Amino acid sequence: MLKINNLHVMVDNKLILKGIDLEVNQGEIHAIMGPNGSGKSTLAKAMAGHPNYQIVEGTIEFFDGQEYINLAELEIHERAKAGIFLGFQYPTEIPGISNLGFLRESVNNVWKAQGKKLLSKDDFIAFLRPIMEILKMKELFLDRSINEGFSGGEKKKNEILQLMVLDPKLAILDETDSGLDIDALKVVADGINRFKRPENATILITHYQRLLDHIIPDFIHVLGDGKIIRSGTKDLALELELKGYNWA
Amino acid sequence: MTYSSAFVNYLSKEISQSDMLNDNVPLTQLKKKLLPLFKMSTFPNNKDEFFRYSKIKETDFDNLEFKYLPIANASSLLSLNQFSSYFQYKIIFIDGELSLDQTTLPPGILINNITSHDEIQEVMNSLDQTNFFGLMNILSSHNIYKLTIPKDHKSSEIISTFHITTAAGKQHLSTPCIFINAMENSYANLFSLHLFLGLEPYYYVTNSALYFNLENSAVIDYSKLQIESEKSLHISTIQANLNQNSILNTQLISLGANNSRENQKINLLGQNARANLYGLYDLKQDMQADHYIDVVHQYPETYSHQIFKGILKDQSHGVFTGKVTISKDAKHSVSTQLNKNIILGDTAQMTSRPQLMIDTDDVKCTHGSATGQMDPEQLFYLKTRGINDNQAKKMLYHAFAREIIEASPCGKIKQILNNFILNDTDENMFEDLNYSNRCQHGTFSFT
Repeated sequence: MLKINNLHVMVDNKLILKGIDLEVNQGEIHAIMGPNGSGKSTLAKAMAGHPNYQIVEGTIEFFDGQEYINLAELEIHERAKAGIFLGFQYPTEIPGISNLGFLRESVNNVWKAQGKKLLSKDDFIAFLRPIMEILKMKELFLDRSINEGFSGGEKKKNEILQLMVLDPKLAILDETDSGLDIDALKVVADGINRFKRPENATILITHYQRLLDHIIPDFIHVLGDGKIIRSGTKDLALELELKGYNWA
Repeated sequence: MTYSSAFVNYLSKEISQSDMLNDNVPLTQLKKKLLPLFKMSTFPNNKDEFFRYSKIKETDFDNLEFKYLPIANASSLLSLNQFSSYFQYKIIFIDGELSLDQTTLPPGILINNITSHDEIQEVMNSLDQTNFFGLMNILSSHNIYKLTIPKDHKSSEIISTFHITTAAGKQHLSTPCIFINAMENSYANLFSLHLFLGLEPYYYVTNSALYFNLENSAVIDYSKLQIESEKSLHISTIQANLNQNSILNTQLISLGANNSRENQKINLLGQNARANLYGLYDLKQDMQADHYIDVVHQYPETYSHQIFKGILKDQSHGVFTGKVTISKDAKHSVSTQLNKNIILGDTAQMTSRPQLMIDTDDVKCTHGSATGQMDPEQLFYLKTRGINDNQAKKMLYHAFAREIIEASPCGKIKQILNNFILNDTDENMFEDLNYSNRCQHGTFSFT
């Protein structure tokens, strides 16, 4: 589904990613771990197409259901339509746009591109309701401005709500566990586990083992100084927890 | 230097003709009193602190016609009917002249032409003789109107005033002048639309004036939408006296005119008088919008709140001067002011000048000004959800403007502003903004 080859990414004229190779297949969950500054968020932003994150070498290829396409050739919104979702580490606050208006606009754009039938406003709210129940979100939440005044936990739940509603082929979740208390962590992890199906894939970016107590990854990769320095299965996370990133 | 242009000569001639024809004698007498004062004044120029950035110039008033019969074309009348049919109660000015046969008002509300000596004296007493364009408005008005909101009148029905410009190709001057007296404990919801309905944009000048007097406990919601011709000059004076417990909420939306100047002078004269002033200007090409807001707290425990926002594209220029004076008697007063602007591109300019003059202790005053580009992180966030650049910018633009749109308590007005500001008919977009047509007031309940 995703093939990253020798990826080099620059931010503000500084080379952050220095040759990432990664392959993710359908049905897999990959966890990317690593210390602060190792390049985890840079990898996520580069895949989503943030304009400040410049690919200077290498490729990111994504299988859109028919063929592999070079992500660098797609605009940001086209990547979303192709089935890529970035869950933000720090979801942006946008005062003045309601969550409902935003979600509907987003879903209409993505579904339209994917040839799905669009829903009326009432049907859309009815469609959202059970997902919001899973995430323990109240309906009033839809009337609030996007992420404005949300607690850390609410922001992350909002990201998972968008994930579940948009139902992408590939979810890249950047530090989705940060800022969550134990109960919220369980709710968010439950949402991610429900998202997992044989036809999609997830890249979990995290600092800590604790998220991996709830979501079992198929592979774990450790990033250090812009490269993957170690890959393994779920046991690697436990080793990292005991020995620290220096060990890797 | 005195103001002695061809325009003044024209005014002198008009006034002497009115005198001979015995037209509205008290008004002509008032004009005769004011004319020497006007001649002695200097046309506002960039040496004047409050016109430092204005591009209004003396020659803008050359060769204007200001006494003629409006020649409305059929298409503009049709458009006018479409707009005006949206409102039950309306006062219609076509090319600066009141069209009485199209004017309908709710029971108890009156509009009349000021003709008595006593009323003219009131006009004289209300005038700010330092306001050049205010004087010019009176001197060039054929009629001055007075709208009276009776004591205890409370209706959420919108009373709209249409200022329609239609006259094909005539370089004319429109000078509507209305005095609004909101009597004790009354409420009115006023909407004013300055709209160009001519076939091709052309140059004309509107110099309008609106004088509010709010008696004790009167409340006025006033929204103004200005969509003049892209070649026109629009000058507006709003002056308000607020007495005890009265509230004036104003919402000025400037979307048109090549050059616009909004003068707003608010006098807070009684305890607990409150002015909430909102504004939005959306400028493109070489448009200029110059807002000059002057709030004077003259009494203890008075309140003013200003939020003005601008969106500037191309080579446009926005000017915001927000002057707040808290006089030495106005203890325990509260004043807040905020001016925020988004600049799109490298060539638009914004000049923002907050000016606080505080002559007493024990007051709360804040002011802030921020001008910048659209937030790239917000844009990125929206785009990662499948929303294209153009749609995302529209959404952010709307989000920015929404605080000003929401300032109106009336769903119908919000909907109109929303439609004009967005100029977008995509029904799926912002569907959550389907406002109720019912007005929702925090202060009163209407049954």
